[in-house]
Amino acid sequence: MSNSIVSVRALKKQFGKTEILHGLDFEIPPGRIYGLVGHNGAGKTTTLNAMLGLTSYEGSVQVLGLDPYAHRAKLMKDVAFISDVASLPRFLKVRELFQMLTDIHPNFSGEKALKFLEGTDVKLGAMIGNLSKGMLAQLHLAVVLAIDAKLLVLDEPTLGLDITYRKRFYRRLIEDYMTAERTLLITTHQVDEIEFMLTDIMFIRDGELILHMPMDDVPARFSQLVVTQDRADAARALKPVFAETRFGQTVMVYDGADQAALQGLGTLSTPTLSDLFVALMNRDGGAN
Amino acid sequence: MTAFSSWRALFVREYLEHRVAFQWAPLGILTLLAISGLSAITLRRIEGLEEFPFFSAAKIFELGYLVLLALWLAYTAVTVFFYFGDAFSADRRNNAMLFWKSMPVSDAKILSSKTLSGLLFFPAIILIVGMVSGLLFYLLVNVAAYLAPVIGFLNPIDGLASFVQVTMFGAVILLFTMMWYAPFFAWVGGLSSVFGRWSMPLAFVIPGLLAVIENISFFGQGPRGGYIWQYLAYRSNYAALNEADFELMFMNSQPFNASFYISRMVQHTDWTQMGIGLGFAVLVIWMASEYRRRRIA
Repeated sequence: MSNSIVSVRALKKQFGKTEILHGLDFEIPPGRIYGLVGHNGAGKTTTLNAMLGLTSYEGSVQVLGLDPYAHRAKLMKDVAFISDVASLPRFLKVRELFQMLTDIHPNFSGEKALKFLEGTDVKLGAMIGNLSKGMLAQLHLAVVLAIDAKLLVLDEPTLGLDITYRKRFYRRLIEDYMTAERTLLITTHQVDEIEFMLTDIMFIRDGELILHMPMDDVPARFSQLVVTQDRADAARALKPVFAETRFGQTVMVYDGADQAALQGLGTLSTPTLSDLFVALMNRDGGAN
Repeated sequence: MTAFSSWRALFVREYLEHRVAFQWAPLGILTLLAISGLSAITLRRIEGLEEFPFFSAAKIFELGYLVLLALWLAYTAVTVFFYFGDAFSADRRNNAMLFWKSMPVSDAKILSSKTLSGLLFFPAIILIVGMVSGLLFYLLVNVAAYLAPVIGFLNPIDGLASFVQVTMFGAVILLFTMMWYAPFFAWVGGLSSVFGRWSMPLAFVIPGLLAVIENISFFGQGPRGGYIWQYLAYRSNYAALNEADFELMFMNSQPFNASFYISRMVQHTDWTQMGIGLGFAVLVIWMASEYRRRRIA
């Protein structure tokens, strides 16, 4: 029996006659921080929804050993997620929300939630419906971080938050929340901000996983070369997966190329996650 | 953490979301009634008592309190109808569905808590407000007896006895009425899960259309209005007490006896239909929860 937190086999999803997911296969082991990255409409949220029991699907999905669609309520004792930071019940005060969660969720701690709210402008007596978008996001993040969950799923969690709070949130996520027993799956378009914390990366494009690997293996497999115009043809001969000219220099990204061969052609480095994203997700064949 | 605390949280959630309709509005009405009674006393505009010299103060209190409870029952019926038309789709409309889906409670449990709130919890709150209105009416009757001495005073012991009897009767008739109409409220709630607030007109339009289709299909043969119409007409009228019972209630000079009328209600209630109706309500709520389970937006 697999000890994976999430096990997905041949996951397909159709909306009407359109197939959104084309048979995804992946496993997520415990204690990892996964980034799921893709364009709008690539299938990220549909994949997450299938994992969270929010939508039906074809194939097999097991989360903590349960079929999420059949056992969502039971699963939510050990899974916390944010799919939309504006979804908190607006008719409650913050204090009432914490009391309700204490009663309804066996793994929620009001004390922890208060701690995560420190430094924000969210007051216990405030009506949730009167909070600004940013404050709503801060409150929702405090709520999910106060749940002692084995799997935390964050779908665009920092949408609408300023850069100061985003950085603080991710820092606290690592320092105060993550443990060896917890697994985090996060999607965001601001990939540069989460790169430092990820252990694994998954790129999804048009309903298919095009990359799934540990971050530690990225430098060995992918290379980025900044090459001057006179050596561009030699560099292009080594078959980059992506090439782009910026300010008179050509930047090329290679998948599995011999790094010794690239060394003499220009400045060699490991692509950042956003560079890799642009390189691999380009539908137009950037290398050409 | 127990299952009980989870249910309690869901009931408290319903209370907090709908306290305006089921607490503040009744208290507002009660305040208006109290002010109205107070102004009548202050201005000494207590009229009409001389038309009922044959009624004792106890009888006037009992009948007045019964009328007040009947009005609160009507208020309950209207607000509960709107509650079922609104509450079952409120999470979707308020964009809160994903939050509730992230909680370890099933959709069936959430809709069950809404149903029980609408059928029992909120009517109980209004009954309590109705009881307070009865106490205020007791004070009014005694002040009226002082100002217009055509009736005697109602002493606190007799007053309490009448209050308990009428309240018992009011509580039972409220409970039976909510149980009898539970399938209708569940029908409105079930439609609300799918159609939102359009459930309120649709709750009448759909059965009406079915009755028309039945009549067209059978060319008007069968009972007047058709089987569907006949059944719905029967089901829409909860006749647990008949005219003779009400006449007795008003004309009997003896103190109000709740046990007598409750036993009459038990005898006259069609328990088979009550059971079928409750079964239908459970089925509709289950279907609504399955629909909700498949919807996230």
